[in-house]
Amino acid sequence: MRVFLSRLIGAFRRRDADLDEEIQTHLELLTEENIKQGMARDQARAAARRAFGGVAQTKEAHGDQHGFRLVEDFLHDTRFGLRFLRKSPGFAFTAVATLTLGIGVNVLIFSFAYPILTTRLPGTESERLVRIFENRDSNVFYADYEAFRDQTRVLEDLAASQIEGLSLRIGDVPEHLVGMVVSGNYFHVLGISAQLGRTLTPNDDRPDAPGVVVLTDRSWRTRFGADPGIVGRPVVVNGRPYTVVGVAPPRFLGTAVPVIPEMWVAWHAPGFAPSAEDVVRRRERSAQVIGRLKPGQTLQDAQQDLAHIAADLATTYPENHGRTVNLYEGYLVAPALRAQTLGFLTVLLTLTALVLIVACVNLAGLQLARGAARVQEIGIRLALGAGRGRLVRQLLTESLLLSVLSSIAAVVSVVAVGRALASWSAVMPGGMTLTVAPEIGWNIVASAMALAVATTVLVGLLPALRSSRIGIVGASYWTTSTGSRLRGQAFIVAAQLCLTTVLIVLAAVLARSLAKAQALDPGFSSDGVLSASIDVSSRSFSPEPGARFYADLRESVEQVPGVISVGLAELVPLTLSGRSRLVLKEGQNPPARTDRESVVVFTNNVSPGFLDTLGIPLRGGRDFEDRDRVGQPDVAIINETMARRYWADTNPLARRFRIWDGLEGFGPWIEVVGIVHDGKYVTLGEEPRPFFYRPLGQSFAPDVTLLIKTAREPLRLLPTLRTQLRTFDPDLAVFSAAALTDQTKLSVLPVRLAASVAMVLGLIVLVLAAIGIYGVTAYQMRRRTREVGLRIALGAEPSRIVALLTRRSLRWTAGGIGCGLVLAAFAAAILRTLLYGVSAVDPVAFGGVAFLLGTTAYAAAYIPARRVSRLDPMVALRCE
Amino acid sequence: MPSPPADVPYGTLDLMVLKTLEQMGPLHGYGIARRIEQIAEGMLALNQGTIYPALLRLEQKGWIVSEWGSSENNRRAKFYSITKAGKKQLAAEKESWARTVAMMERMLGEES
Repeated sequence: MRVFLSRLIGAFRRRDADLDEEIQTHLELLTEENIKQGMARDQARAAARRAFGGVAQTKEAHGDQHGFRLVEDFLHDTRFGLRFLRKSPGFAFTAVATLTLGIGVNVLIFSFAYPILTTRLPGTESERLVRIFENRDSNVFYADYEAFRDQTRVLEDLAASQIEGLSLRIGDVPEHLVGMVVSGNYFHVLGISAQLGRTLTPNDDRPDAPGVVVLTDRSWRTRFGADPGIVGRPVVVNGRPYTVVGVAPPRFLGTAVPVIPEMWVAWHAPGFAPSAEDVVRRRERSAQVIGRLKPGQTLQDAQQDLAHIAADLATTYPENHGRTVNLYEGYLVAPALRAQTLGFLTVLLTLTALVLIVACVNLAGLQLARGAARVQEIGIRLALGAGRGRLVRQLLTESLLLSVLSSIAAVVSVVAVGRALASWSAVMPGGMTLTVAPEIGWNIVASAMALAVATTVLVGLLPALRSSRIGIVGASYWTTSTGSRLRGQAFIVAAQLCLTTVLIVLAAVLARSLAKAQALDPGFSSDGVLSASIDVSSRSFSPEPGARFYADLRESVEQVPGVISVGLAELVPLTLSGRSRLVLKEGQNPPARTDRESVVVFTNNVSPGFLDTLGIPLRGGRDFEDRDRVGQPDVAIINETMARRYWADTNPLARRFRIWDGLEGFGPWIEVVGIVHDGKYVTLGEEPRPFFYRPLGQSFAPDVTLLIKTAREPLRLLPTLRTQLRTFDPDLAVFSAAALTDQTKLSVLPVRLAASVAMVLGLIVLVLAAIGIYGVTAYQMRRRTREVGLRIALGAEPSRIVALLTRRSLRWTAGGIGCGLVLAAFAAAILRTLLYGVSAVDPVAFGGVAFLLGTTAYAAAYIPARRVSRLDPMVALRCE
Repeated sequence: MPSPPADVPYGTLDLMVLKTLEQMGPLHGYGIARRIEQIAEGMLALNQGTIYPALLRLEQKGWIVSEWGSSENNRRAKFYSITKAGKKQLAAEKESWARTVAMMERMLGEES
């Protein structure tokens, strides 16, 4: 770039020099000729110049002919613009800071959105990769995957994969981590080869093959210290012996982004292969499927091809009835998540675009004001023969200069922020690692530049056109402002305030909602409770031994010193996870399809001791006991809302209900043995909902969370807990250990996120608006200095002057804020799902913001007004 | 009394330059300007500077080429000469000019 520029400039210089020399020669020859004809030297030179015409014009015409004129003018204007900015550093700083903020937030969001939306699956010739789902975005039945793979004529090959939690034991410490089970051809289909050792092959994907794992680069570095001799190293996976056979290349993070596995094992590897019964009943774990098109084939071809196969399957197998297949482009992020992300980013980008618009409006106001101040300069230029188009171009170049400077600043800050964010990764429940990786590349620079051009047009065009419309004559008279110009600026201020009001009101409503949510009673106490998850799915417990295992586990944990009580639960309350069932009481007929909502009841499977541990009070009946196992009468504990809905005023104890699958199937009769106080189960903001608990001994789940009440700081219990569990079972990995208080905070994450985004953006625009109001008012004050001087000289009190000067801006301020409040009421109504115990038109938030903004706006107008009112009238009168 | 010098009619300067170069061989800008003035014998108000954009224009079209040399007073000067394409263009222009003149004469002649 620099080379190109210098060449360009060099070419101009050389050309200019050539022309200079040519003209010089011409003039000298002419002069000599004149001298020969008897003129004096001076006279001869003057005559020569006359005959030649304007040297400068010739050069200009010559330049025009060259066609580089635009570039040359541009360079010239840029130089001039830079000089101009250096002369008014206050304006330059304000403008650049304003635009940097506006452009920066947009580029930042874009830097996150871009990679999510555009990155394709890794691998060779990735444009031939497609993603395959059943129905809209469901995983594919493994049996269907096999059918697709064996019968397709359009796809070269298909690979299956699925995320799977597993326990890895290196030495004697078991760790729960996220792995991925994949078909043997997975790496081959993608075209990924190992950086060390080998990847998996179809030979590994057989039930009788020895267990092997391929590690991710990150796992190899963090868990094995990047050991170069890792290949061949034995490890224990899910309690079985495995061997490390390879390490994937650093950039390969699997195909389930944002979930990043730590290792890959074959689909049918020891301990992972589905049972023979599941295979027969087509109930193996379902798969995320990626296909590779044969060269020359298209997505549509493949879609048709697989649709035929899917139609066959649908007629052959009842569980495939109505199941369709859908193919998508092979993007790294799965289509469902892409769509969600797109929705979220649209909202976010709308907000940040608002910020940028406020910034532009702000700057346009300043430019207009400055345009007025430069009337004389422009008048002189016009008088000297500057073309109107040329003048607009020059003013636009100045705006462009500002925008480009701001984009550079924006890119620099986004890179800094992005770096900070990239090193952040969140450990989610279940031991998954989520990484947020903004892509800092040319796309960022490109988007920043695009925004710069857009803002130039937004900011610069109107003021530039306006300024250039000033006539030569007008300019010399143009000392007092016209009404329309002032109204334009005031309107800009009002519009700005309106947008600001919307954002800040939203932020305030959300913040109040957050505060209220945190004060809500969840119906249980998480104080001093440690939650730690375990997963025993790899042991394929049937319910009876599973229940015995959990009972022993509880007993073992209760022996840890400092433990008050222990409970197990399949779902941890208030972690945004919930499960519901259709429930019918004895004597109740299944409702019509449209009335199903009335029999939806949420549920959880828990062990004895769960209620005690969370301090959920029993209102009647009993807690679960160890004797509530399979083979014993099925029992449940229900909450008060469920009791009221199903049994109204009668006593529900010893009544029975059953679970309906929505078609013909009914579960066994379940007897109500206890009633508990209502609580919050999924989110803090939820309405009271019917709920029942079932004992884990009867409704077994292999992945549960230990909830341990202790008198101490919960996390301090962890080391002793781990030691105890190791003696209990060396392959039992504990993961996602956290204080329950922290875990339940997750349920207010959406509102917390929304509140902080709105707050940050709101503060940015508040600052912008204050700068804008100050700038415009200050400028107007300066223009009225003479008038004020006259008034003071005639005896007006300073306070009267201030009132006079601020009255107009107050009127516009009130208009802007009022308009903003109305819009905010509409906007808040859209966010209703995030509002806990706060009305969308919360009077505190609305009133508070109106007051805050009104005061800010008044201060921004008052300060310059006061300064003017204190002027020495003599100085004021002489100022123009 | 000779009529006052007229401005150079639009589009004719290129033609004059080409003709001059065809007739005189390589010349520098000053030489071309002098030659045109001599031939016009005071009938033409030529701003000598306007020669240079015209020269660049012709050069860009490939009708003339330039080359640095030294002038009568030993200064560096660019010498322009007509190319084959330039000669062809000149012939075409001459013909079209003749047609225009003939047409104008007929028109104006009929009127009087």
